[in-house]
Amino acid sequence: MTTATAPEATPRPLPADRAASLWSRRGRSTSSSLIALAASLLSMLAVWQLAAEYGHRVPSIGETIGRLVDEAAGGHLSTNLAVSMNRFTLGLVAALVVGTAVGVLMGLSRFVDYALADLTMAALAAPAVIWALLTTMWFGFGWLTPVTTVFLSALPFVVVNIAKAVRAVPPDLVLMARSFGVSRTHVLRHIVAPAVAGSTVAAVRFAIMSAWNGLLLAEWFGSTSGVGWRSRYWYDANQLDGFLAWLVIFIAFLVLADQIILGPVEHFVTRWRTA
Amino acid sequence: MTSPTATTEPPVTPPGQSSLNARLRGRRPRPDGARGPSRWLVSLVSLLAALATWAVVAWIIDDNILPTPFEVFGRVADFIVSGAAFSNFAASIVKIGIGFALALAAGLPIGFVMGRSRFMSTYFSMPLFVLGNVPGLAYAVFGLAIFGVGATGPIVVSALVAVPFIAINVAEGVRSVDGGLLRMCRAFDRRPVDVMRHVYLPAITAFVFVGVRYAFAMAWKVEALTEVFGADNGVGFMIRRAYQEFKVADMLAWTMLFVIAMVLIERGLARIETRVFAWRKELA
Repeated sequence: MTTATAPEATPRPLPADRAASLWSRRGRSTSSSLIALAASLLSMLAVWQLAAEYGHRVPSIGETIGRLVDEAAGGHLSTNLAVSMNRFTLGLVAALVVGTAVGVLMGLSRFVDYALADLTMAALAAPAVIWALLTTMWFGFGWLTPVTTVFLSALPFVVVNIAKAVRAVPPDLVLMARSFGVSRTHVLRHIVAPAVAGSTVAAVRFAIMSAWNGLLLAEWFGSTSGVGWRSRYWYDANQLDGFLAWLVIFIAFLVLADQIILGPVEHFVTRWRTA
Repeated sequence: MTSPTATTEPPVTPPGQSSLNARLRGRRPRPDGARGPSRWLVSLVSLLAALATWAVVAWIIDDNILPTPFEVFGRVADFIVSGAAFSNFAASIVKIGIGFALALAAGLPIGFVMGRSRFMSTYFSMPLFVLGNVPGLAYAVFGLAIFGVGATGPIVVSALVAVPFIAINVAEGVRSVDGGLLRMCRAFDRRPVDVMRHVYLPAITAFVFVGVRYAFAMAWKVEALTEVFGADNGVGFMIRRAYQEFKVADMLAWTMLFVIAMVLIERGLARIETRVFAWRKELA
């Protein structure tokens, strides 16, 4: 099941995130790739240092780490992260629940698919910043602004990927299993689950990425607490090292969610694939 | 479930925007010729229903913060007639175009060495992963802080967003080159230029095109966001100005134009792709 069976002969595109699984998989295999990773890390730090040295207003590594330590010591790191995580989880769970329901309907019924395909596509194309600005105008500076933005930014990605997962269930195999009297749990476990696993993990992954971006924007424009607000606080104070310290946290969160949690899960649920 | 293409789709994890494209492409070969009109009918009715819901909610709330669809469509028409829509979209697209040219200049060599060497592939994958995971907000703010208000910020930002897509797809294209073909070239003493021109180039172009197509949506969103934070023209700047003047109808009108332009460009690129790379069907 690779490009040979694809409906079109266009090459299989690789998303930017695929690089992640490549480096983690190869990183474990040989020592030369460990050297490559170390060299890569060192080069990135060197580029950063060079940018700080010669660039205009780029904070250095030392300043950024120092500011990060100060934020952690002052308690700003944990309180703002806790506030933001609450909003993030609330919006994301809501998006996953609603999106799964809509996605399953779209996958099962051609009528629902036709009715919602254009709306979903428009929602995918809309930039998250518009939700952040609109919710700020609608709900003011309360908790509803970030939660709604998180929900709206994640929803279309969940819908599209869950619908794709449902369509990936092989109907002929299900029919055959049924005619041979295979029990419902066996069908779910051995036919449906492997087929939907990949796209479901993708749904969660893109929902997290999009929702995190939405959360930051909503807190930047319409909040008085949370990680987005705190990074704006430093930006407004014209202290780019404080902003960069928070940016390190933002990226670290996405990398952790992707590599530590979703990576192994994806590896486990797609282990049946030989390609 | 009745779609015959569903089971033949490759079970790869779709990238963010590409799930949209995969769905577009996946739908085309469906043999629903007999039901063709009903698809448009259902789609139209649901869009009208959504607009009607919006109109009713706006009528109930009856406040400036939620304009009616008619006001928004009126503003859309105004922008199109006055030429503001065209000039601002053109400004944004020119910035993305320059950014993509830069991204190609960087992504082609990076992707090439990644495809040729496992060491370089590991070496570059981490920075590319980081570039792909920087939130749009961070790109936008740094674009403004470092390059100030102007065109440079959006250009650099869209280049940075596009580089991982292009490099990774070029690497995949290079890996897809038949090793036997390369050995034969060496045996027959072909010059490196010829190998580049006749072996690598045809293999890479299709992958580059796909990379560009997927990068486009991501890059444009981040570019518009950068314009929201600091620019003197472009779609994002117009949204920001409407926000500051508290003109919700203008914000929604610009968003609507943005969504329509994005969908049209994506469909156009997908069509070009199937047309230009139709010859690859024989290869597959």
